[in-house]
Amino acid sequence: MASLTKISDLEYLKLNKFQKIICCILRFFVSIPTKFANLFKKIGRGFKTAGLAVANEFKDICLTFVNGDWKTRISFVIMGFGSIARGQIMRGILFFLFEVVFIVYTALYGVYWIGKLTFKDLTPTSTQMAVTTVAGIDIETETVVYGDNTLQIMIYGVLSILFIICFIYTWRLNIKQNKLGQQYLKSGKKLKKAKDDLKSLLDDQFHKTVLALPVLGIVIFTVVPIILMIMVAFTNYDYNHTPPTNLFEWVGLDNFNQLVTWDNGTTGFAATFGELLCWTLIWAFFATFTNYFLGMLVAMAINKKGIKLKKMWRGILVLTIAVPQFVSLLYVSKMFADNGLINNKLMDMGIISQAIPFWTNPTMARVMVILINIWVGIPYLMLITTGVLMNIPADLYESARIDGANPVQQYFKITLPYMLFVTGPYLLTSFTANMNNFNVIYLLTGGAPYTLTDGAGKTDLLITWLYRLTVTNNQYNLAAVIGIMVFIVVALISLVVYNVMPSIKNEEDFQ
Amino acid sequence: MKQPSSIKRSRMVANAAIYVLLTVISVVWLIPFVFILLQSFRVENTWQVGYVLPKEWGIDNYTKLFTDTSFLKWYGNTLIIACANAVLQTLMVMLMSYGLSRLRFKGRKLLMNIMLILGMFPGFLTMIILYWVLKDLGLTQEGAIPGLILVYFASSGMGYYVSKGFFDTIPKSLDEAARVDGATRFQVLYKVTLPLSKPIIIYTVLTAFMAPWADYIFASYVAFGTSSGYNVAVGLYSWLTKDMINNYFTTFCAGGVCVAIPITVLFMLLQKYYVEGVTGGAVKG
Amino acid sequence: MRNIQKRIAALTAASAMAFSFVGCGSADTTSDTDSSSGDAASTDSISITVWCSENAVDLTTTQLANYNTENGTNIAFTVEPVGEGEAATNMVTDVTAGADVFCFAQDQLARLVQAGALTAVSSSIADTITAENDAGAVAAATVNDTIYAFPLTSDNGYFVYYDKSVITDESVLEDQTALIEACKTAGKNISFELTDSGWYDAAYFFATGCVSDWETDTDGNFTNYVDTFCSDNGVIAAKGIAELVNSGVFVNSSSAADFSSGSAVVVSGTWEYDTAAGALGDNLACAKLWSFTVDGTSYQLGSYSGNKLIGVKPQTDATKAAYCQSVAQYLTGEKCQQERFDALAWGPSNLNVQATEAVQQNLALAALAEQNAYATPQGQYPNAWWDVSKAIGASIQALGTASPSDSDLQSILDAYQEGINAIMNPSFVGWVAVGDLVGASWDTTGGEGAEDVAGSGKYVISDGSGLVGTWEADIEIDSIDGDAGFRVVLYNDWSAGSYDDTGIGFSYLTEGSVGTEGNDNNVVLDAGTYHIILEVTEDSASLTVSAA
Repeated sequence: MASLTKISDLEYLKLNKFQKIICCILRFFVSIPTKFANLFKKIGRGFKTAGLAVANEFKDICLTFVNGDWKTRISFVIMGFGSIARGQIMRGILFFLFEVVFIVYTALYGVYWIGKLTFKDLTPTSTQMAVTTVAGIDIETETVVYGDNTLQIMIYGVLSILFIICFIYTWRLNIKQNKLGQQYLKSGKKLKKAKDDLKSLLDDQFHKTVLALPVLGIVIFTVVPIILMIMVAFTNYDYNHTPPTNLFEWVGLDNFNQLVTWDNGTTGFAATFGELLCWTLIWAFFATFTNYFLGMLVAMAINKKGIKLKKMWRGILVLTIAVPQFVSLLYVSKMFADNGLINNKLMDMGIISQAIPFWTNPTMARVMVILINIWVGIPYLMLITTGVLMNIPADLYESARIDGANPVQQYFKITLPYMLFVTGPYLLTSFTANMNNFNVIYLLTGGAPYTLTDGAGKTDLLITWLYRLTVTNNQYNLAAVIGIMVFIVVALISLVVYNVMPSIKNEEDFQ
Repeated sequence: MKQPSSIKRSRMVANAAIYVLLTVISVVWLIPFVFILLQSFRVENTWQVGYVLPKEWGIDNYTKLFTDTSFLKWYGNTLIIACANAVLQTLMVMLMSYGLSRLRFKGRKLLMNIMLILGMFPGFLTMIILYWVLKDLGLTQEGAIPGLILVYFASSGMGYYVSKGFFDTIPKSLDEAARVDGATRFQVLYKVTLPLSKPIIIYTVLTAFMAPWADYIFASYVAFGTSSGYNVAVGLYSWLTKDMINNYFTTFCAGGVCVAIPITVLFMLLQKYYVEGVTGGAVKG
Repeated sequence: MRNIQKRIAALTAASAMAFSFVGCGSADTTSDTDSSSGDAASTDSISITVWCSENAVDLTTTQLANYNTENGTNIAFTVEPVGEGEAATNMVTDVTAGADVFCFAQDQLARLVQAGALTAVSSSIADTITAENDAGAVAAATVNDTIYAFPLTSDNGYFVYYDKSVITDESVLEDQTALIEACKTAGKNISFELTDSGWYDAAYFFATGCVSDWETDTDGNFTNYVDTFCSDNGVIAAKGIAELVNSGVFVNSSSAADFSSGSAVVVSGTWEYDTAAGALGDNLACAKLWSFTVDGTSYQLGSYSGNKLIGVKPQTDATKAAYCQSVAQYLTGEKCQQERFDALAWGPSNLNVQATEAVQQNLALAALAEQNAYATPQGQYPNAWWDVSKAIGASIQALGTASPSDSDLQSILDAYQEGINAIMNPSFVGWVAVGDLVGASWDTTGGEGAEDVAGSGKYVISDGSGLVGTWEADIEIDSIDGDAGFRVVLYNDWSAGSYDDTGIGFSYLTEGSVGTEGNDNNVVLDAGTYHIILEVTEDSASLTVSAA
């Protein structure tokens, strides 16, 4: 096998499909050390490039100032001045307004929030005593005066920092604009008017128009929260420290220590994490591939020539997509309970004498969630593969038939390779999606049977455990740590698969 | 002559086997829905029972659903969210996927990689943060509906994969021909790409419309303590607690049926486009 | 050319700013209250949100309207259906968005106090509460001598509902083995939520005399616990659980709806009464829990007795705070409890209502009262305890046999012990006595080591405030293979028990008149109960051990 890694390209082409895959995988693993080395080299180079770029920027800024006329120089302090002076009124006003808003904001609020980010010298929540007479009774009350809220400080601190970064970027743009404007005028070119700018937004610069809104949304509602959550992993934000009443603090790497200490069970939750990770991977593997192959099978059955009522068959399957899972899965979960419909009927019929422990036996519960997931997943796969199957060129089958291939051979020689090639990326995404498949587990078992400590059960995925830590136990710090770990695992798997599967890289192949 | 007839026969046997298989599958797939439907018409008691066919039939559960509970309010909430989301999310996804598929610009790969990496963080890791952000905007509890719409659609651009895959399958030569004729990129989008994109738009609208009906996790987190801000999932779910379920189980089933009907109908009507959209797109990832 | 980039940047920043402005606004509004004492003139501007379970919403709304009429007030009430279970979680998530007055189950009390979601009850009202309610209910509302909540019910316990037509011979209800046989013969099940609820599991442990008591400080933080589930008696209890969960007639449920799906016996609480009555009609009967027999000894199952409480959240306005307390008092008063019993059959905590004939004759409440003789008042538990304890039942069931070996059961309890060790706040700084003698030396190496002093777990000696001080404790030492003893170590850091690791510099702990000195800080003695006094100063430490 080891020799496979050293063969030439020509020899590679002679291998059969299976050997090729093995070869790819081996090559990947053999290349890991080199890749790591390259990665570090790349990072090193990246730093160098970035350093050079920063230096260049500074140089450019200085040169612009030295070579600039008075309009340019004033623009260093009053943004947009140069643009206005050169007739680009709209641009100039926007620059100027932005600067005003920035200065006002930073002076009034930005400095305040960022200064508090150290979580030092905060005002804690305090109480005052008072006596009020209600219905003839003197009631002593403790009114509360809420002080600082560390979570709020974190949110606005980070946003303020982002705002400053935006400002620096804009200021730099303003400098560049001045430089260009000056150059253009010197060489006798005309500057663009607001109208031209708007026009280019629908043409050369169309991507900016199109992407502005979606990217902005992602930055604010995904990137910023992820940054904040990563920060939470370094605090003690838990049920003992819920702001505004009890403020949390920075604790450095304590939470991560808790994960890795595998000592006498007093602090570490590494054992639970390890067990859940294993099960999560097993689950993701089975959930992905059972659905994939069975879905394909069903799609082929429905699409087979001569099968009537195609629409009806598809329609029935598609019901599972249309009916919300919280209704259907909850019902299915009850059906298989100890005293549920299935057990009752089987007992009535005398097939079994005592209830089958569908949900209470750990192994059986694990098998059940995978089986029921097939029920959930096949319709999707059926839909997806239907289209792909129809796209397979018919002449491939024709020539295979002439060669005397039977349907099974046709499947393994034509259908399966074609499907794997085309749906490779989908398989990867559905594997990672299954690792985070919250609904099926949460609604079917809720993680039970709970034979593990740390509040985790045998069918719990990392994601459902994370949910319970967050919502039920308010242990946000640990949840953040686990979230980061889940990310690392998913990223590693994706990295491996991306490197093994060639089809993903060729984005343009289909166009 | 013998050969073809034996082929014919074996094909018939194969088809018969497939019919049997499909029938079995259909039964298995339909059972839960039929059972839920039957439960919703059970009158004799309101808790879970060990039999399927109601002993006494009636629409009591539906009457209770629409008169005694806040179900209509929740239903309305969800409908508003779903409609708004169908429009806004489709807009975001279309913009993002069109931009990434049809336009080439500096940083395009980088943008896609960043989104890929962001997508690897578990979804509701950030729930608590989003809650506080929304709360400061006044979009929790009573304001949960606009809050949910905002969260659903704001970062929906990350789900561009399927529709980008679809756009990728539209031949580039069409764009280029139009560009040669002097069309701006906007005109290319408007006059060339859009007319070809009906399936993927319908697919996106459909998925965007369906998602809010099933969201329990985030919706319950944002609207806690305010039943007027619940969506249908949170509302129905609240009947499943220990002290509620025995009085509300059949009503829960009735509610489930009411949620399922419009989505199912919509799905059946638009199935053709859904399949076209998903096969055009999903396979490309 | 580049002005689009600029605009994107501007837009981003603008939204960032929009957030920040809003944030500042809300930060400012939180510090504007300094109300003085005095009479509340007008209540027009007061609005109070109340959370209660959904089936009580209508009744509560009426009662609140009555409050306004009776007191001539004009408070705007909003009643929201939020279950007693969820209420605490929601309050902890965000106190400021929580209800002003809310119902919750007593086990959440410490957690709520800890999170600052409860305000102490005015002493003027506290006296009334103490006088009017049963002692258990008052204790349930108390954290460290301060009453933090208003007792609403005294019915949060469990007992047996059964089908008279199946269990015709009442004597089988006395013994688990007989009951299982009877159900097997009748082809019926026993519903008992043992495999996912520590609340029910505890019934067996209380039966054999095990305890799990947790102490809190004034802020609701857990400081100390005595938990003997992991002990010889615990193994006996586990055997009792095993007999039932692996009997073949066991159903993990506490829903009376099970009577419609094959159960003849359901262990549950008063909230299931209506369903049970609906399902069984005249065949419904109630009883206390049964006994189980291990090695010829019979153990009567215990249970938790508990309460539902009403709490008031800390307010920023004194007048509103006072009215909130007044409203909570009204809702938990005699009249409202009577109404609640009449309408919903909730068991009252009010002594006068308890004394009424209707309450006395209520089938479910009578059975509950009978069971209460064996019940343990439900104290405060860390939320994580419920997660850890519910693993016991499921783990025993996973063994798959009705008579598992002692060692299998012991290892389940060891895992439980490990779990609760992890619960206590890791930042607790103090001393514990632990012991596990393996051969001639102390085993402090692995997970099974230090925490299981055979049969008694560990003893937290100091109060968590630090390493220096003087503490006394009674500890019970059992023997393993003829050896017995204990060792004093740092809390949550078993390996650091020897003087080298503590950094305080005491040579070793000297023992008193009993026992002999082992290695490190070990004391070797006979099995028995001892009184220990630990004195630690900056530069020395001593341990005095005497027979208790």
